[in-house]
Amino acid sequence: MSWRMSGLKSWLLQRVSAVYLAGFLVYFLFAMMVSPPSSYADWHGWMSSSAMSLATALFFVALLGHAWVGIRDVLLDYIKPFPLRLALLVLVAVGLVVMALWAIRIL
Amino acid sequence: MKNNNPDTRPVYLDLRRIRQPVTAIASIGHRISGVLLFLSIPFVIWMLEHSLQSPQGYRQVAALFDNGLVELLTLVIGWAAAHHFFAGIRFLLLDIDIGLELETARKSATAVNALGVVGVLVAVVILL
Repeated sequence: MSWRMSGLKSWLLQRVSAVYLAGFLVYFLFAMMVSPPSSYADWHGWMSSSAMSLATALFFVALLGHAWVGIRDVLLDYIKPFPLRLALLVLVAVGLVVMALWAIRIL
Repeated sequence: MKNNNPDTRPVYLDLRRIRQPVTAIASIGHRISGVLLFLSIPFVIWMLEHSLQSPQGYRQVAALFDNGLVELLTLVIGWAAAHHFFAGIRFLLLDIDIGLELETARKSATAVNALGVVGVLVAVVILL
């Protein structure tokens, strides 16, 4: 895909990830309300089940992709001086990659 | 004759006098809450890591919420999460042409702003 498509791609990424994040959040809060983890074993068991591990990994992929598009848009709108804009974009990108690796390591 | 000299026209840049439309408040709230949620990500990953690492880590993370500052930040994130969630759904609906009429758009924006506050109240109840 050409660079010309990148605007449409991020527009779509923002919406697809939003739907997944909303669905995961609703499920997670619902599960926590219906049967709140009573102990470490309970919590660990639930979170390390294969379905929940996969869903949580997907959650972080969606979250970090969603955060990148959103924060990028905010920076492009409000930060005008090019060097500062570039520095902040690089900082956010590096931060998100670090967070992705960190999240993958614990799951 | 009316004075149309640009230098004497009132300039409303006083933040106490600017009244933004309710839709604009919902929109800027979506941005502010998004930035706050972004900043909260490392803390969420850290809590997830510690709570899953060991029973001591689990207890430490649970004990964090006895701290006043952590409780305050939880309320802020409660607002941010609720506002961002509902404002996001509103924007998704606007994308597919639902709620575009001005009156409906104003009503849904008011609802979103109110649901953000409900998010704070829910966080208060959970913390208690």
